[in-house]
Amino acid sequence: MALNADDFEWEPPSEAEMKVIQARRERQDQISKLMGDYLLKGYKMLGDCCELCGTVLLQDKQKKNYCVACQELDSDIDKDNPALNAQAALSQVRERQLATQPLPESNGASSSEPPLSITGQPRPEHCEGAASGLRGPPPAIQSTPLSVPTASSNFLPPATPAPQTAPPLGPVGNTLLHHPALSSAEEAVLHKLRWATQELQHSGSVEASIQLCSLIRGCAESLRSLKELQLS
Amino acid sequence: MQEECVSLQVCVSVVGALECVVRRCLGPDGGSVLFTRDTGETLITRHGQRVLRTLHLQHPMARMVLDCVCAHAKATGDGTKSFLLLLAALLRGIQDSHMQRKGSWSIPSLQNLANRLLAVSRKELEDVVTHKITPYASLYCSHHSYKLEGIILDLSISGYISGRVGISQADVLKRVLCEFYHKVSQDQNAVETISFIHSHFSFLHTSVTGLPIGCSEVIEGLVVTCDWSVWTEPAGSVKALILYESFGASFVTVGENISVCIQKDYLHRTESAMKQKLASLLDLQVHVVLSSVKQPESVLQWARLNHVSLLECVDSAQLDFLSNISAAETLSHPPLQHLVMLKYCRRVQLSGHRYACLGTFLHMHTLVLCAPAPGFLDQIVCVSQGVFAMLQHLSQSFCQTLASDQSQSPSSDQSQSVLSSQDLWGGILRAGGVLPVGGMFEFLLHHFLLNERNSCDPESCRLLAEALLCLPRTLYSHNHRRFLNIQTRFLDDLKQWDKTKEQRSEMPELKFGFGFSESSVPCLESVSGKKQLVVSVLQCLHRLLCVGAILNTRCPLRTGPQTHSEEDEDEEEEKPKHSNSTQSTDL
Repeated sequence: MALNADDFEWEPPSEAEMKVIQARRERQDQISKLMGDYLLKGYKMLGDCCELCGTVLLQDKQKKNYCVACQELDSDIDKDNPALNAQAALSQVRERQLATQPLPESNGASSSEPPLSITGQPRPEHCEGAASGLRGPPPAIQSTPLSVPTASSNFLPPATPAPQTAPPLGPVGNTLLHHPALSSAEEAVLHKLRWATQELQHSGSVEASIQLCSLIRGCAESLRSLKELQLS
Repeated sequence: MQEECVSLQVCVSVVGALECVVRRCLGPDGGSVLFTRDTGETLITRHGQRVLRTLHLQHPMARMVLDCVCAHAKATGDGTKSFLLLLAALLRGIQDSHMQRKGSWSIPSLQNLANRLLAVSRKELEDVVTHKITPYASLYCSHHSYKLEGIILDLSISGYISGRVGISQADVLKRVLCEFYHKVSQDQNAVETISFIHSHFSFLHTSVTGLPIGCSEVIEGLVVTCDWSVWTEPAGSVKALILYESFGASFVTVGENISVCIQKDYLHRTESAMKQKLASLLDLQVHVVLSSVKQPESVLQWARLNHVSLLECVDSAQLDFLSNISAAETLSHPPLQHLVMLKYCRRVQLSGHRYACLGTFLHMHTLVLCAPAPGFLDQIVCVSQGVFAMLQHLSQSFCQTLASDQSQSPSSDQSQSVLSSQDLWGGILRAGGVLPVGGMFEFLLHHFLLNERNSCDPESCRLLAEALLCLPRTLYSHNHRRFLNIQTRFLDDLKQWDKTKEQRSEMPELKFGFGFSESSVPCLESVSGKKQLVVSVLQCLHRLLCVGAILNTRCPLRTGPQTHSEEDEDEEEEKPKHSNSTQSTDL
């Protein structure tokens, strides 16, 4: 039996890939566990797969089909989609800021030294990728001084100690020059989004949490339509 | 290609779900599953096959895996849950290595991998077991022979039972099973005894609900689960008649229409014919009649008048068994009747029911298994049956290896071919056919597969070796640190043993502790059974990975040779039931 030529080209996966593999494996284990529990409850394992996620379908005693992954677990790919998830959107913004780091200097912005954020924390240059999007405030406010002069006042957090979300002005800043109305609309929506997130973290009642979640969803949808408008 | 990745993912999710179902029942610390029906019936079981059969599985892959599991369990009586755990671990290992490769698995490469793993099962596994594990096992047994001599059977049975019933029940069951074995083996040697019990277990046991398990016992004689219709205590040995048809008149049916033509004196004639037949029985000095069908009332009256005991509605298979072991004499006329000599006939009372007990000259014994609830009873019966299936597999594989050794070296002593009772267990001990339970086999196989120097497929060996550790890991899932301790200590011992083995100096003390002190004896399990488990899992994996597409058919397929519509694609046509058809589950 001849070995595949691919076998000799194998190299160990990088750390990011390992994380992805690990996450997928955990998700798969969770799906299996849920499916096993449902099987023991008397659900029937059908011969079909779900169209959306490819998991095996279960059928309860009322002959209703049930997909464990779609109904119970968060989607694997939706959480990375910026149009659907606020955190993903903000982390994408942060990544783009880090990628476009030298540009603010070339733009001739007034920020030669690390600008102080609203809360006084310095820009965290050592943070990477998505995680930093939640911690460090963006310096991009200074990079486009012409477009949003009044933006800074909007982003003052109402007496909360740490900034929960970072306003994504970096990539938006490049297109802001074209449509100030859209940009201001976007800022307002993002402001509401951030406020809602903060409220959600401190909310104690279920009703309020549900309403805040729907607000966040509405903001995300508005952002998506605004983006479509901008790109068109 | 998207399709192939999906099929691997589907395999993993299906087998993963089944694994999650049975994982909770594995090992001595495992729990039971409670099934309930809408009618209020409950079933509490931890028997792997039972649990799986009770689930509603329509997915063709799930049903295929279930078939493989049942076939394996029938052959070895062991390892339903371990089968699924190992299969799931292998599939996950393949999926991980697929994700780590930047390329994707295509159908040919999955099939290639499946073939390679199957080749590993034939070659490397065989080599490792024969040349590494078996010598280790025989060395271990010889080190502890002072403890193990003479009680190999007990320990093997303990090893099997301890993972399947609770601790207190395990002691009782072990005692009863060993007693049963020793009583049956009085007339024959070990191999024949085991084979006899295994093949006729359904006739040799009786299950009784409503009593605690401690009431299980071994009764002399063959117990028939119906009561005597007419009972007269016979004195001493009696001649018994076995018949399979009624004494009364029987109609001959032609096609589906019965045409009955009754003559005037038909009834009178049939009655006189019956009286003649019964009188001939008395001439033959028959005092017991065993019938597989219900006899007419006139026969019962005759039996009462003539002090003949009559037993009706006996299972015909059991009657066949009785006539086989008692060397029955077949009457020439009328046909379908046998005469046997019975040593005695008795009536026994078991949990409020009266049963018949027939004594044969061959010292037959019946194992009476008691349990409070039907589900538990079913589990006890399955476990007992499994014990003898496991012993049968163990003795058969030992005889096979003995035969192959003899064929390779014909100059050896030919008298070894005759195995008496002592020789089987002693021979198994010396040949390294048993190992302590609790994961020793998996650790050994893992270690030797990873360090196999002249293997032609190290990647597949690595896949298999990594997957094998899932079994001990699950066994000790409640205490992960303990698992790591045991693994580290054992591997250190093993390395030391490897070194000293090469130097042929004094062997280190081999200990395999799972909380066992030096004085206590570990339970044993069969090496060949474990090897068979790995082989069966790899074969099932081969079947799963070679499925190219699943076609849903609307109407049931005719049974016969499977048709392949395309030549290049390896398909399996499965027959899923319609979604609104009822699926019967038997509890």
